[in-house]
This record gives sequence, structure tokens and C-alpha cells, in this order.
Amino acid sequence: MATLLTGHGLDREAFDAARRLVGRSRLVVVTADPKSVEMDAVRENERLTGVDVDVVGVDAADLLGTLAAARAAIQAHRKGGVRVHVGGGPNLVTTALMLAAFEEGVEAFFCHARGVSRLPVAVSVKLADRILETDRGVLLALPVKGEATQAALSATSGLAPATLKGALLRLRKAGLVRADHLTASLTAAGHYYRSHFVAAGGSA
Amino acid sequence: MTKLVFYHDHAAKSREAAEQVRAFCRERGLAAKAIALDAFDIIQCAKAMRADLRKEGAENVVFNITGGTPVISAAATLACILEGVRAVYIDERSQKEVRLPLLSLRYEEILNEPQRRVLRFVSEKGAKGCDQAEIMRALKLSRGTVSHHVTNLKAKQLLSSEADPKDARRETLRVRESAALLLMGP
Repeated sequence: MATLLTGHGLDREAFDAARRLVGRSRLVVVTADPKSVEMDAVRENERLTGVDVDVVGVDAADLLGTLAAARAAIQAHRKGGVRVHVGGGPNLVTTALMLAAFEEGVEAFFCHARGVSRLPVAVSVKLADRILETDRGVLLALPVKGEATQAALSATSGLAPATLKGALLRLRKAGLVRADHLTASLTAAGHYYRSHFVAAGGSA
Repeated sequence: MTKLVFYHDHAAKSREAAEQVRAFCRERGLAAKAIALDAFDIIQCAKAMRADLRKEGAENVVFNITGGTPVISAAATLACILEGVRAVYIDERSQKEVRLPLLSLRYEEILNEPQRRVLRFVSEKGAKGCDQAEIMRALKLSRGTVSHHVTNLKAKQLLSSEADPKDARRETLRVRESAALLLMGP
């Protein structure tokens, strides 16, 4: 049976509905309050049914930190199968869990008073896979601070000017770079995806 | 900002708050439109928001996901992921606007055109579904091509299949309800 990853802390009804409706061998709870009495009760309750519990403490006001924690939990349990319940927690935790499910390409749903809504995730397809290898090279060649001239980028990435221009057009369309006919720089989303590729072993 | 569109649920408290926002915008000469949604159904909320985003043009919109009910906020995030729209939230500590790290690309583009055609065809068959032979005939594709796309769409959990009780060799294909969100028009 798969791992169930869920938010916790705001919407108890949704949290309980997810536990009631979704089979699991492990429960991973993303919460801002990992040491609460309620969490102890959840651990005890799950233990009685043979379910292991991992509690991931996050700062619920830090979207990127929560997103990174959710992605790490998905990656850690991907082999045995992961389902993400995006609800149960504060809105920003819900947002982070949803982004993580789409980014990692895992089954996701939202439990509420009337039942379960499945989200349209294309399972096994990671969002970063939409960025071509050439374009990743350009993201990695861009400076973390400031901008680079296209001539300098061409030299560092090893791409011909015409190939570089095509890559920058695609990256601009995807909202990852700002580029004019001379220079280019990373947007906030560009920084985010660049850090993915650096973490995945691309050179910075 | 030239126009404010905001979503709320049907609760009396929400309607009251919506009226206050409208009055605030009126005083400043800003066009405002309040849209009441059934805040229990994330999929219907996301569909309504997507239709509005397409009407406005994705490049002209910034979606602030802060402040709604859990369902409305989650539906807003979902709509922004699916449409590739710029989404922000207001950091409660710094009160600054923070942009979500989304790609400005429609999520449905994760499928190639032939996959979208197959998915659309099966979707049109509704609850009745269809088999691979019907897809071959209707889309004028070879058996191997249809089989390839169907296998791929099943692996992505966008299509479901059920063996025909009368003919074990035949399977009925249906589009999963959630996957229909990937087929919202051009």
C-alpha cells in the first residue's frame, strides 16, 4: 500500500476524511505544529492499525520551504507509491502540497465535506521535464544575480547564437527568464527551476 | 491594476464582505466584479476560474491566492497551474507580494497533440466509453499508434479501462473525471 502525504492544522474535517477514505501503509503529515497533543493522538491511532507515521514540521508561512519539504517527502517514498491529499492544513500548506504533486507527477486529491475530488495530475510526468536539455543548460549558465549578455551566454553554454536565441524564446515563454535582444536574466521561477537542476547534479 | 475580480462563497458573511470590497473599489474608481462559487467543489470552482482567466487573457492577469476559504484558495492555485497564470500570495510577516514558482505554460501541453485528440475523443463518449477500435476508425490512426497513446494515457492515470464482461479481449476506455479538466477548449 502507498504512502499518504497530507496537510494538517486548519481543516480537521478534511484531514480526518483523507485518513478515513485513503488506504495507506504510511502516513506523512505536513504540519506547522509537529509536537502537538493532537499529533500524538494521530500517531497512536495510526499505530493501532499498523500504519507508520512521519511528521514533517514546516513553517506554514514559508511557501518555498514547505514546498521543498513536501517534494522531499514525495521523493523519499516514491518507490512504494505516494498519494497526496493537498488539504487539511493552512492555505499555504495546501498550495505547497498541490505544487509538489504537480511538480513530481504523483496522484493528488482534495477531501472535503462532500467527498473526494481527484486532481488532474499526469502521473509520472514531472513539470521540470517540460524544460528541454538545451534550455536547462542556458538556465544553469545564467548568473544567479544580475544579467548576462547573450554573447557571454553563448560562450559559457557552448551554444551557437541561433540555438541560444531559440532557447531564450522558449524560456521566456515559460516565464523563466527575462530577455531582450542583448541580455538575459532569471525570473523568480527561473531561479527556482535552476536550483532544481543544480540539485539534480547540473553544474552551477 | 485596472480591474479586480474576486471570488467568495455563498455564506452571508462572505456576501457582506464582498459588498464591502465592491464599495472600497467604487470609492477609488476601480472596476470590481464579485463572483459567488459553491465553495465545496474544488473542480467546479477551478473550472469557473479557468473560464474567467481565458476570457481575460492569461498574460493580463495576476491571481492573488491569499485570503479565500480553503477550497477557493486551492481552486485558485489549481486554475493557475492549469492555465500557467502568474500567481502570488501576500507574505503575512513582510506583507510583501511573493510569486509562486509556476511555469507560464498551460498544463495540458504536457500531452502532445495526438494524445489530446485521443483523450478528447474518449471524453466525448462520456460514461459509455469506447474501445480502441472506435478510436482507430474515428481518428484514422493505426492500431499500434492508438495502443501506444492509450497505454501512455493510462500510465498517466488520465484514462481508465474496464474489461468488457461479454468479450474479454475488448476493454472499455473512459476519461477520468479529473482529466476532463485538461480538455477545456482551445
